[in-house]
Amino acid sequence: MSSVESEVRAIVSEVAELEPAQITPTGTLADLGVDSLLQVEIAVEVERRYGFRFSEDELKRLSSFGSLVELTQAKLDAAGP
Amino acid sequence: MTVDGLRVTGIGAVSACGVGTGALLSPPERPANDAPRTIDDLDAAGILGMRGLRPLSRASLLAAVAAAEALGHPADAPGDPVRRAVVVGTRWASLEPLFQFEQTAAREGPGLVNPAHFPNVVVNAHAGYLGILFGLAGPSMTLCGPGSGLEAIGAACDLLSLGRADYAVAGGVESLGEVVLEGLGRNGHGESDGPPGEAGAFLLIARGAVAGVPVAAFASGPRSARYELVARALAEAGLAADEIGAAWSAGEAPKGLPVRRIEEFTGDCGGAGGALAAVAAAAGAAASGEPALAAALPPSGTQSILVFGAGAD
Amino acid sequence: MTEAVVTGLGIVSPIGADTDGFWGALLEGRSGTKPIASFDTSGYPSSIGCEVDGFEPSGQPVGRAADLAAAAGQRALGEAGLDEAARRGTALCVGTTMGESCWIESWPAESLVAGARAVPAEELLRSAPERVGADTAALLGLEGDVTVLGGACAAGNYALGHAADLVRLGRAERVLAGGVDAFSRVAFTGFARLGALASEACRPFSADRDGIVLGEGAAMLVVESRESADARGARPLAAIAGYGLSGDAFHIVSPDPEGGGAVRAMRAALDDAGLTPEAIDYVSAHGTGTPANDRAEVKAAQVVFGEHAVPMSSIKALTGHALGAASAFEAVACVLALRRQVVPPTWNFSEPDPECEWDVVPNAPRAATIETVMSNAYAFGGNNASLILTQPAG
Repeated sequence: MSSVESEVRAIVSEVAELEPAQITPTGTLADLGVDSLLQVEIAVEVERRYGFRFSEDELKRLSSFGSLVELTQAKLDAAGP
Repeated sequence: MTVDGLRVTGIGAVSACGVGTGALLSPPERPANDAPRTIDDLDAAGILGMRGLRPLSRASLLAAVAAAEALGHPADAPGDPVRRAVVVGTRWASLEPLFQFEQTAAREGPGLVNPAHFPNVVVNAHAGYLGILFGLAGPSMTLCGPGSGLEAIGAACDLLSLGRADYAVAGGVESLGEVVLEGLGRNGHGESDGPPGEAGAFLLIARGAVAGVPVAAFASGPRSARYELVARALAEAGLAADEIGAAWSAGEAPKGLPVRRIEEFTGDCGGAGGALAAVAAAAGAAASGEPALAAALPPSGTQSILVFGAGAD
Repeated sequence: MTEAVVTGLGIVSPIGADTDGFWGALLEGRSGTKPIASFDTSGYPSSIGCEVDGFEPSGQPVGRAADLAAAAGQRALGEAGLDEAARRGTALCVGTTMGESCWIESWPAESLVAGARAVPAEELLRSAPERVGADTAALLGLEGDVTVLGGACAAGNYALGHAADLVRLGRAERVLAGGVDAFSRVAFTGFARLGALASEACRPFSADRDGIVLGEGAAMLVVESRESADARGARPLAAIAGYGLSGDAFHIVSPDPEGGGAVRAMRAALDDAGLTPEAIDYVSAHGTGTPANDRAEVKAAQVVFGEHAVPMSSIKALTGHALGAASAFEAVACVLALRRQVVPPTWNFSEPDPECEWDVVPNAPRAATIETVMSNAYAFGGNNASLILTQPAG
């Protein structure tokens, strides 16, 4: 597991009050009982953690843990070292 | 008002005296100084044992802790959820979240404010969260003002008497944060004559219950009417002043009664003060079987008197 | 129980500063939506709102909400023909969402960052919601009991329902009741962060609706007992027949998608008024223009009204969402609909949404026989309130 994945997992775990093991990469966050407001909160915490901002478009693609990690990693990679 | 058939079947409180009505009624040694009476080291999550507490403001957590006790441990709200009302009184519980919201916007820009913090700036958030946490799907009301915790109990009695609900969780909450402490500190305790405090205090009132402390009367009015209110409430309850066993007040102490002021134990808890007085009076009535009285007579705003009858089971 | 009647109306709104202007705008589609002037909206996803232009504050040391409420209250008391002695004895019941938040909202960024000790002492507690009631009463010379109801977006209905109870239970002869909110940058920011702001217009029930347009204002109604009105020779404009409250107990901001709480509030109101759903001739909807609200609202209407295709419109297309004032604006619109026998339309309607189809009276007013109206409001915290108004008896 990459460090980004484990950090994002920790954020989701804290905000959504879930055990880290419950957070599966497939299936939507909504399936885990994470409502839309919590999803926005998770996005805000990720933005804070890494110092970037998700665009309106990107926010719409964050409905699963897997896509959240993927997009976060992609933005970090794009930002360069 | 007609309060026939209304009984208090549960009480709950959290204050500087500690968690629970037991702590309120056998408080620790009162500090000799004028420091704010804060609730320290509160493990709300541990006490409540529920998920979904993370977005709650401090005031909502205090309200939840007190409401949980009133509903019984583990909190088990009676009856059909849609027949359970919730009525909350407060003065300042929206100020801290409002300040923090603005502070975050100032520090980090409006685009980084956490959206989950927005509902907390709206003063009905506490009633909203109590409804969600304890399954209260009947009428939900929030009253604002210095005596609002006791006003809320009066409003709950109305809802029950009018048949709009069968149970009501009613009371008040106030929390001490930067804005309120600074505001009261620099304005010389505001209109109060002692240090501020923070608290949550709630009654569970039931319609048609056979056990519990009977609600005998409720009277309220503007400040100009405060001297008549006690007489009016006693008349409605069919009681003489000397029949009242325990009397508690927040704000002015009504004359002609053996009144203890709740502020001496908890500090001035704003909107929660009258509800704390009601909890203490209900506890007194339950223990002694004698009538009891709670008053909220703040220096401004609505004044309220609540009378409990004899014969609590 | 005695009948609770309305004998005076007063409004300060983005589409009219008196009831005639307000009603004319509702029928002609004059919107209050325009670029926000009171703060810089760069960095926000939207820049439009429904501010009240050219409002003259009293010049007293009170906040904008109290000023708005007092201005509306002054008009209502005037229309009701109340002399000074009668005013003094009038109670006040006012609903609000943000209270008097203008003080906290006025603090500069440097002070906010430095903390509460950097802010003027006298302003620290002034943003408390109770100030709206106390200051409005003082401005109007009202000496009766003052109640402030923090009912969020349903606050107007809460205040009017409570006033009706006070009158019907004989606890007050006369109450000035309504709702108010001043344009709040905090609310605008909050709705922006929730993704709830419309990009260019409020389109209730329309397939292309995309959110709310935040507004402000105040509306106040004089509610009194029939006996009191008759004794003064005051003409009742309408009666408050009943109201109902419920809680979703679902989510702090999202409505129950099945509209369960909304159904219960409507049925509780009908029960309180002793009426069946078929008696309702017009429904003034909450109709904020968010995808979620409007969908849930139509679902609830389908459950309550079934085959009774009562026209249901939202005036928020023109007024925006004035939060605490919203259902008070809508109560005024309902009284005027009863007086004028015309249903105000839902403006800005482009096309029906198959997920929330109803007769929403799109884009043109409709003459109708209107004896009984229902006004619905749904708030944060899942607080639902439905109010029923009828032609006065006799």
